[in-house]
Amino acid sequence: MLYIYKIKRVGKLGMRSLVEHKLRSLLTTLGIIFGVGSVIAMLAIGEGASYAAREQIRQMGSTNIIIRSRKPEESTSATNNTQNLISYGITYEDIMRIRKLFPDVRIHVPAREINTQLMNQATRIPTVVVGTIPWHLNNSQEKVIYGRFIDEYDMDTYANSIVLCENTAARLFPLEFPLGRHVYVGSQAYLVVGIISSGDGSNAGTGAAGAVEEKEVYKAYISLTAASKRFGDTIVKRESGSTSMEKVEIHQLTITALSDDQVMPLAVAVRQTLAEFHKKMDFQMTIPLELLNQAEATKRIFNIVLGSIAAISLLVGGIGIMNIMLASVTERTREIGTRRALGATRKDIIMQFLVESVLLSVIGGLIGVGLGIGVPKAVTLIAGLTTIIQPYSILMAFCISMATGVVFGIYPAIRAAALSPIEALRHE
Amino acid sequence: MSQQNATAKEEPVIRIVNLKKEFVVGDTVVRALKGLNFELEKGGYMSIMGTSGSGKSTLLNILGCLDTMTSGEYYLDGINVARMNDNELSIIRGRKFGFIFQSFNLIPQLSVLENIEVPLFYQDWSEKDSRAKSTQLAEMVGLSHRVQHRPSELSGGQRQRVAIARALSNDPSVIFADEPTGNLDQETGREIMQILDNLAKQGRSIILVTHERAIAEHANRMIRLVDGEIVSDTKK
Repeated sequence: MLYIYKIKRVGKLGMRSLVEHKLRSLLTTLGIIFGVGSVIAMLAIGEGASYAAREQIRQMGSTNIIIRSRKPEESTSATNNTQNLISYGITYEDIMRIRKLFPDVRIHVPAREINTQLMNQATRIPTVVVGTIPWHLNNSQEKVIYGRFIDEYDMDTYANSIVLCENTAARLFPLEFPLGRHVYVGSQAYLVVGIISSGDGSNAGTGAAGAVEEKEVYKAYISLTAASKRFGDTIVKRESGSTSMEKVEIHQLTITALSDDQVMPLAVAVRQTLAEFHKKMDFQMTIPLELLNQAEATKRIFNIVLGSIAAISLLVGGIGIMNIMLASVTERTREIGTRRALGATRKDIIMQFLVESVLLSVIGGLIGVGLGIGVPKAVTLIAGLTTIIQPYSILMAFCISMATGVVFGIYPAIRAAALSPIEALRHE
Repeated sequence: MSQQNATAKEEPVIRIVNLKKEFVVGDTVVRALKGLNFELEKGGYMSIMGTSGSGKSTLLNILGCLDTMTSGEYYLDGINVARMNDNELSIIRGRKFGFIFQSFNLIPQLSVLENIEVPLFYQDWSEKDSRAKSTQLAEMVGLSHRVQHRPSELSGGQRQRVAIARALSNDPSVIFADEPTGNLDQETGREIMQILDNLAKQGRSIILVTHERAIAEHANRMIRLVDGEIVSDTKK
C-alpha cells in the first residue's frame, strides 16, 4: 500500500520531468509509438483480409469436397491426331462407388438442364428437362405425389423414365392420368413414372432456370445417365481446322461430410477410390477446409512476421528509451547524489528512474494504440478494406510497451542507483 | 552497543574512535585520516577546519555516512554505524542528518516547498504532513512568499535558506554544513551564518566544515585538520 502510494508520488514527479522535456519525450517514445501502432494496425488489416478469405472459403462449405473433371495432360498433344473423341472425368459409376463406400455422406451433383419440348400427341410444351440423380429430392422442397422418382435402376439402365412436375403433367395430360403413359422428347418416348409437386416453383436446382420466374416453368426429370445418353455429353471444339471432341459425364460433384473433422480422411479415401479408376488423374479435388487450413497457416506465418517486426520496432523503441534514460541519469547525477544524501536508498533511486521509463513507454504505448486504431479505420474508410481490430492485440501491445519500459529502464536505473553518493554529489 | 560507556553521563551524539581512512591510488596507499578520536556532545556546535587535502571532506563524508571508513568505530546516538551496509546507511542519513552543501544541491525541477519535503518523502511522510512541515520551515527561513518558485528563480542566499529548511525538515540529530557560505557573497554569507548560529542556540548539534577561519570561529569548538590528523581542538 505504502509502495503504491510512493510510486504514485514518484510517478507525478516523473510525469513533470517528462512534460518539461516535451519534445525529447516525444522523440524518445516515437519508436514505441510506431511499434505499437504498426502492430495493432497490421494485425487489424491482416485479420480483416484473412477474415474475408475465410468467409469466401466458408461459403463453399467447410464440410464439402468439390471434385471437378479435368482434362488429362498427356491427351492434349500425343493422342490428339489419332483419337478425336476424348473421354475423361468423373462418371456416374464413380458416384455409385463413393456412395457404396461412404453411405453417410451426401453427394450433390448439379443437375443437367436441357431446354426442349415435351410432346403428348398434339400437345407440345416447352419444358426444362432436368437430368438428375435418384436422391435429388433430398435437398429439395419438391415431393413425389404419384408414382416414384428416378431410381438407381433407371440410372444403371439409362431407362427412358420421366418424372413430371405437377403443372407439366396438367398441361400435357389435361384429361387423363399421366402415370404409365408416354411422352415424347423429340423422337424418344419416355415412360411417365411419377409426378412431383412443384415445390415453390422457382426451385430450379442449380438456379440456372430460376431467372425465368415471370412465366410458368415446366419441368420434368430424367436420370442423369439417360440425359447424357440421349442429349449427349460431348463437347465439340474446333481448333485451326481440326475438330476434337470431349466427352465428360459429370463435370462437377460435391461430397458433403457429416462434420469438419471427417473431411480430410474422407477426402483421402475418396481420392484413393477415384485414383484407382482414373489412372490419368482426370479429376481435381478442391477441399475448402484445406484451403481454410492453408489460410489459417498463412495467417500464422503472417502473424510471426508481424511479431518479428513488432519485436524489432519495440526493441528499437526500447533502446531509444534506454538511451534517453542513460542521458537523464548522467544529467541528473547531482540530483541522485542529493537524494541519496537525504535518505534515498538504492531501491528508491531505481524506482524513480524505472517509473519514469515505464511512464515514457506507457505514454508511447497509449499514443501507439491510438495510432493503431486510427490507421485501420482510415484504411477501411479510404480503401474500403475489411479491417478487424483485435482487442487482444491492443492489450498485448500495451503490455509489451510497458514491459519494454521496465526492461530498458532497469539498466539506467541500476546505473543511477549504483553511483556512490559522494561521486554523484561531486559531479559537475 | 556501547558497553564501555555505560556511565550516567549522557551519550554524545557523535563519538569516533581511532577512525582511519585509506585510499589505494595505483600502488600507493594514501592515508587520508590517520586515527581520529573525538566526540560531539548533544547541542554541540563544532567546526572542522583545514586546507584542501587535509582530509576534512573525507571526514565529513564519513561522519555524514556518505562514505565508509577503513577502520575504527563510529557511534551515532550510541549506535555503531561503522559496519552498516549501504541500505542501512541511507536510512540513517535520512533519519539522523541534515545536509547543507556549498552548492546548495537543490533539485531544479522541484519548487521550494517540494525541495524542503525531499527528506520527508524518504521518511514516508504523507503529502499533507509534509506540506504542513515544509510551509512552516519556509516561513522560518523567511521564504514564505516564494514557496512555489523553482531554485533557478531564487538568489544564492535564498537557495541556501531552502537548503537549511530542507536540512531541518526531518528533525535531524546532526546538521552537517559543508562550506555553507562558499558560494555566497559576504553579506549573504553572514545572514546564513546567523541562521546557523541561531539553530545552535536552539540546541541543534551542528558540524561546520570550512577552510575559512572567520567562518569556523562561529562554532563553539574548532578542530583543525592537517594531513589527516587533528592538530588542534579548541573550545570557546
